[in-house]
Amino acid sequence: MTNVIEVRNLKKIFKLHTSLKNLILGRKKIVTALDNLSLDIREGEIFGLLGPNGAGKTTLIKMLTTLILPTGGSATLCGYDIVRDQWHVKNSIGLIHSDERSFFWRLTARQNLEFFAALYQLPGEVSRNRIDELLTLVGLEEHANTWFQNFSTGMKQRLAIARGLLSMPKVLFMDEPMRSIDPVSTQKIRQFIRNKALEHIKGAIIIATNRLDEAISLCDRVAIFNKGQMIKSGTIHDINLAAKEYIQYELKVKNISAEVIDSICRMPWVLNCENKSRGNGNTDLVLDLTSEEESLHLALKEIIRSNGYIQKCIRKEPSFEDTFIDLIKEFETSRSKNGPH
Amino acid sequence: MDLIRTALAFIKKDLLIMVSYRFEFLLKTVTSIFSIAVLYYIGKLVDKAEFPFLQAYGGSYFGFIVIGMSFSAFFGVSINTFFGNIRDGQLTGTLEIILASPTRLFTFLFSSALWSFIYTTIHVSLYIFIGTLAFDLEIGRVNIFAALVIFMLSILCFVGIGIMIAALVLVVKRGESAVKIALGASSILSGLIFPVDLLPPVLQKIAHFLPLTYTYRGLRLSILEGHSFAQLQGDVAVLFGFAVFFILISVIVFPFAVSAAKVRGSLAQY
Repeated sequence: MTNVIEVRNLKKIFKLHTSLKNLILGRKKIVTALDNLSLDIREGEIFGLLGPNGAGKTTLIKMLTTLILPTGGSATLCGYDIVRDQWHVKNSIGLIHSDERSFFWRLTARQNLEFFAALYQLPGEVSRNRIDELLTLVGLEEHANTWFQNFSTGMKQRLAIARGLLSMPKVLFMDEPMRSIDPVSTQKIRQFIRNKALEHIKGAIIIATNRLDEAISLCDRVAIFNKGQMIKSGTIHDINLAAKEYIQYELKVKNISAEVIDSICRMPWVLNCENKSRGNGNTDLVLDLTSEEESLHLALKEIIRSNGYIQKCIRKEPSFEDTFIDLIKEFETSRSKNGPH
Repeated sequence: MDLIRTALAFIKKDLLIMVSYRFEFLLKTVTSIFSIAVLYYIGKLVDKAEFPFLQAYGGSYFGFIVIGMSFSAFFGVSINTFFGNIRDGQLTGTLEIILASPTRLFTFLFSSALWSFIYTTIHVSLYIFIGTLAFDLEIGRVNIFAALVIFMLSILCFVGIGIMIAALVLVVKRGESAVKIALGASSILSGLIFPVDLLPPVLQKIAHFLPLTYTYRGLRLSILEGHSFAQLQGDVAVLFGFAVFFILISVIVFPFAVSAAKVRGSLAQY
């Protein structure tokens, strides 16, 4: 599979004046919004940029769409350099902004799309047909002649998607496309992106989001960002698998003494141990075990040996949310120890 | 071809938005009739004093002020429309979408300003038409060629200044008010309301460095007194120099400002 986007050591540093005093004194605060990022995005995939607010997702999208110039490194989109070949890059992309207001409010949906189609030099007939097709595709055909200012937030966002697809771009960028949209519209838009949008895009769709459910339901691969650095990238399954350093088991046991619990908790393969008495000799045990196969066997053997009765034993798969939070926490801890690069 | 299609799209968009505010044109026309009537009666009052400085312009203050006010509308549009369009785009979020499309920077600038000029041309034509028809504005001696040359050079000159202000707005986000005050003052100094000859000598010297001085004088002389291109060649030469200077500077400065905003990541900030 060929790469649609290739990013190499891309860097963005902002120099900000944080106060009037600093402005007068000419002092600037250095903020590294993106730090030596290298990343490939392949043809035909929906790629998620995940991370908390301020992680660098929007900065990356703005650089790849030529709206921000990088401080260092390089990136190509469909083979075009994002700094040197801006016009070709612009001809290859569609952008769906996080700001759903970005239309002319006193024009209808159709008039708005006609205007933006002209910016892509679509001939009249092609433009009319495509606008009809896209309005139907996003379910706005009955509102084609309604003023944009009378649209609901969900309708505005769907119109933004139609605009993003107008030029049949090779790469479609979606910056938090579901922000401030109700759950019903969110589901509809997700279905649309998953099932229909990719048919219109010859290259890839890149979605920046801080909603993990969105990434899980839409993305083939994701990259997790925090404070301008990419922490992990890959499929959600692979990231989950790689992040697992222990396996968690939830046990419900009966007739087990405090000494036995203590001895289990002190076993070398038990990384973490929590217990809670439920009364009548019932105890809940949560064990984080090393991934060695023997570890669970030995813990259970200890319970049985002391005449304990195992009512339930459940292996708990860590959710992607857990993995994500762990990765972010791990990153924060290592950053506070080692300092930012 | 790209330029024409983009320009037409901008004109259509702006026309549709204007039409959506149904009474705007009507209200503006009524305001024009009212203001031209006020100027007519002020003119009658001033003419009774028979000021000698008005003789060069046909002796009528009404003609003097109407021509000045008419062109000041174009001056205002040239100055305001470029930064106004950028600020509107920043406020509505459309600027980034437009700049992420394959629309060239100067195509966007030119196209986004076109409607303002067309609208002002219609409005000023109506203004002069009403002045001629209802208030005896004397423009029968007009030298159309000379007036057009002065007009076009002046527009080029002020478009250059307008683009420079837009560049300033992109980089420093503020400052257009200070620039507008300075330009407002330059309007007065260059003879919008009364001839430059009436100013104290120091201010008269400053007026020589203002392009509007040559615009107002050239337009009034060509429209009210029928001065030919040859008679106005001094004003034409100065305006040509100003136009080349400001257009050149703006062509250099604006892409630089856009790049600076892209480096700072502040293209959409206001």
